Amino acid sequence: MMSLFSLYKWTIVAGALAAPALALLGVQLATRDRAMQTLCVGQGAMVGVLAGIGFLHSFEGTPLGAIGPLGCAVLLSAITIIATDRLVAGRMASRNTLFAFVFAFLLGAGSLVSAAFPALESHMAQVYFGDLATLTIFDSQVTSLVSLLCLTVLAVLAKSVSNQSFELAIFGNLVSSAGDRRGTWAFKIITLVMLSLSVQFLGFLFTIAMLFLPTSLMSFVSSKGLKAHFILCALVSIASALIGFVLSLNYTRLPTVPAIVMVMFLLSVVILSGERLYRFVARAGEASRSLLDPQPITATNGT
Amino acid sequence: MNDVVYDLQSLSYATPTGRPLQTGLTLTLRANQLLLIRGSNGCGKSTLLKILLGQFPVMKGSVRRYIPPERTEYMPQLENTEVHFPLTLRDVLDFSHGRRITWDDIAPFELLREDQLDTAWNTASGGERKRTLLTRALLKNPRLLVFDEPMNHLDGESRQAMIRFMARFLKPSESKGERAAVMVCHQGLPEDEERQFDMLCLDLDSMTSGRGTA
Repeated sequence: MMSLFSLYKWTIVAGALAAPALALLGVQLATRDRAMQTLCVGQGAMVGVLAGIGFLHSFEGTPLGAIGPLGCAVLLSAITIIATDRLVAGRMASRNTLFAFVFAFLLGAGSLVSAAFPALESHMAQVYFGDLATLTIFDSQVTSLVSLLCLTVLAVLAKSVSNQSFELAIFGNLVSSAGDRRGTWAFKIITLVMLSLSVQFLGFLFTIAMLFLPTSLMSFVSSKGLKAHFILCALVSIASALIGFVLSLNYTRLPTVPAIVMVMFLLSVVILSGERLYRFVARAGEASRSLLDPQPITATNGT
Repeated sequence: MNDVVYDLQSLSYATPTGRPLQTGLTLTLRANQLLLIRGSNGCGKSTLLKILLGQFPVMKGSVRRYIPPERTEYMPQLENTEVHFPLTLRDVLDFSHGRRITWDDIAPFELLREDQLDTAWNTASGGERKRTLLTRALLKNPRLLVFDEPMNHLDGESRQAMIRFMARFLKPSESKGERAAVMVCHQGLPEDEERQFDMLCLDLDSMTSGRGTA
């Protein structure tokens, strides 16, 4: 087992950094009600990766062959963000329907690209479902570096970005003055790069699961406060990525990313059950104390 | 003319889709005054606010604002009342101000109680949310407050707290500098509330403007 850990040490680092980076990004995107748009952008990134691999096939093994698909993914995701933003501009209703249309369109485009380059069939499955175990050391190092950068940006700009997410959620647009909009572009760029990189190296399923599962599941925990939610999401995502990966190493027929997703779900169920049990015991304790020491009930006449 | 906050001359404006709303609007808002904009649905109250904030273009005429945008706080109508974040009211104040807010920072506004700060945003009452948003705006020490329907869904106590606060905000004071407020209020204000302000009332249905009740 130790030799496996040594072999996959960079993969483990990449998973442990990418998981919380995506989870914290997902908290902001979910608050902005951009989950469906993010699915489109992820799908756009996937088409970019496939097109990049297809067109740059002859450069495989060179730096262009390694970085080119990522560049295509960033470009296609950027186009998808701009196009979807324009498509829903000024519309409060039927946004999700329009995003679903874009998603279906990009799904078709991805399928067409993979049909045009028969060698892409294995890449298609890789980009969809991902497999951390197949990451090269270079892929893992790039993923770790970008994830660390993403975590740093999200930590430094946490208050400003959260403020913007809050304004977008309740007012529908940003209302604070330009001086208070620090980090708007940094957040957009890091979202774009992290999404594209994650889809290319870790797969669409891993990306979407890490973005939206932790924040959705942890929103059922009655923790009060933003900080607690951030910490819970980050911890659950790291634990699931590590446990899921180790399980898939142990059981060779267990695919990595589905294992991570299932572990995350089970971990969340355990946390939620534990919290419910704790609250039940606390309430029962309070009730028994009030039975032993009843307080007089007072009532006043109305006017 | 030193105390002028807004100067509107023969202003004509339309919706973003080009439907004309109002023409020939002229008024001057001075320091320590409240501009109350009222009128029926669709008469262009919110659009006028956005023009005053410089977010929408004018068709004809001119709008001059003498308080800089960075000293202006805008509180639009709420599109959604709940957010995905498990926020507390304290979080809302903290992240909008960029640092941990203490009770001493917000006590002078007399809008929230200390025990309300740990209330979750999603379970807070409409009044608590509006008071939090107002406190959030005030922490930035604005000179111009612009509100779109701030009195909607407020109970009597919250409404009185808002009116008391607005009257205090607009009270002339050398130390605070010149201040003003613009408020869209669908039905206007009752007479006892109006009396607390030096108010300029703009009725978009009849296109009249004047001091006090139009």
